[in-house]
Amino acid sequence: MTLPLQHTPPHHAHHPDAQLDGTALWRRWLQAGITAGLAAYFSLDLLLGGGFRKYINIELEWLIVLAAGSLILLAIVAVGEGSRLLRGEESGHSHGSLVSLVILALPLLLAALSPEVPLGADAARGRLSTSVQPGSFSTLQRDPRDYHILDWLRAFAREADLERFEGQEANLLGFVYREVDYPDDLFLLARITLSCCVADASAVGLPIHHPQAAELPADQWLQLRGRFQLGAFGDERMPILQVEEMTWVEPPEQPYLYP
Amino acid sequence: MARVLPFLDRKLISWACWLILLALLIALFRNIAASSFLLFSTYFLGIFIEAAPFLLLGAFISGLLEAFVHRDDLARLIPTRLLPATVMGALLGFIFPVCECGVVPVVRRLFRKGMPLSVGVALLLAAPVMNPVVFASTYIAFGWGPLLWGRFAITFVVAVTVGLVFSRAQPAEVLLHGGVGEELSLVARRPPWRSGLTSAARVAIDDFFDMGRFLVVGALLAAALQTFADSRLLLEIGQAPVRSVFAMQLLGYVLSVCSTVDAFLALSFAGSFSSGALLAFLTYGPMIDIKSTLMFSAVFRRPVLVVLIILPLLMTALISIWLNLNLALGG
Repeated sequence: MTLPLQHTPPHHAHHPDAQLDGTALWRRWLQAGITAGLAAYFSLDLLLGGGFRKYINIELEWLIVLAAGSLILLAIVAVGEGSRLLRGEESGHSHGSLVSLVILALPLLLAALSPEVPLGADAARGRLSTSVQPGSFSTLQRDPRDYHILDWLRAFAREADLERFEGQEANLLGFVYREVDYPDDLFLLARITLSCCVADASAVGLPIHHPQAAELPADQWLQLRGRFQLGAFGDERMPILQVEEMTWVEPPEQPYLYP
Repeated sequence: MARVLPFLDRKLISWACWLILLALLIALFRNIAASSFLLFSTYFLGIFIEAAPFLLLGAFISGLLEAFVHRDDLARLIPTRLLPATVMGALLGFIFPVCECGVVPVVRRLFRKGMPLSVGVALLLAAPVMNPVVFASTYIAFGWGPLLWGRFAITFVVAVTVGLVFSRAQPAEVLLHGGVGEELSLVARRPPWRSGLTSAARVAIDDFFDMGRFLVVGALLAAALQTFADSRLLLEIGQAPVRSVFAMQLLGYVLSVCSTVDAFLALSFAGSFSSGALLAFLTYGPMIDIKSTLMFSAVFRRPVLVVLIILPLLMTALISIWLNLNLALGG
């Protein structure tokens, strides 16, 4: 059986007068403007400003470099096209329907409207876990006082005898997360975890014992020092951090954990 | 009429309706809870920022194809027999390393250059998985094992089969505008590099805007689902051999995570889901998700779109369920 290649009739003529009306001109310039806007957003805000850390895995920084470079190149070409059109030189196919231009401006609009806040307690709701798979990642070589929340949960998962964590010192950074049915002296110190971008975010949390737990505002970032003591979290028996020192801190530059 | 009011066509009105709906939704969010709006916006920007580089890459490749590959070259390179041609289509992704956002402009361009339907469809479905980047990320996540090989084997089989299904169809029945695009090859057969690159960039910018709107709308939908749907409901299904497969397919469709990194996401489900379900997630998710459905709608006619969504769904589901029931794969 042989395969016929498609036969295409000679190509469509565009409406000859489509290029003469002014819309082609200002659409080109609008397209150039939006491309330049996106280029600026990717290069200045996301890349140089470090904003990309709130949206994707830091390992994927090269993606932002790639996008910023491509967009700058496209913006230059688009401006060139616009000025060619302005000088009355034919600029070939003028596409970029008004609608697609408006839609491509939406990311810029949303980026401008919403402050760059990392995901927090709202995102964690419904996808937070206090137990994880042990994972292949080795925590053995490091000082347990440097463990972050995910390291601790993995260590708990690997160890059959939780008694061994009794009295162990820990330094933790995370944000406050509570659900309505928690006892008044308990909260979770949580971190958002993601592997690629915020679309696959989930959250991990460690139960923390603190007398004023109920009064702590959700999403407040805390630096905690304390020791574990076995206790009950719901119907589960697990190490619970007894706080010895608590500092309110700003959200860190790199807010997520990457499993 | 159309000349007097060039903006008033049906397509535009339908887009305008979408936008109005969107504006209403945004207004609603802001009134109900500013925090939901913030969450929605963060999800949207995350998906868009992560997918845009791949779309740009695809647009550039499409531009280079337009400028430097003549339709006669394509005719010469593609085997004339159906099966080898389709198999080649499924493997082409290793040469064009693009994921599901990038492959659509490339395939659309190739269709305009006269690429046979079966080859293009196989490329479209296979390329998001069949490429070196995805191979590397899947290997890093799962190592050598049944999940790595299964992912590539299932994708290959499904892409070639669906491609063959399309071999009898006429391009005019399948593609919008009968696949006849504005062939821009005003340039000579082999343009000099400089003018060739300029025209490639010109094509790239139009492709980026043409396809980008579907990416944006797809990301908006995916972000809305992320904000308001509870993925826990899906995750509870876990190990059930049949239901877990469909649950993970649904999850893959809705999340719209890029295929280059979805292996790491699958890894986080590895403990709680059957291996068949993971394979279904790793094969169906890259082929079809919310983003790509919308982007496909710029290339294919509506009924064909349905076939392109349903057929791979059923095939990957059947293979995965069969594996769940008959083989105990080591996760």
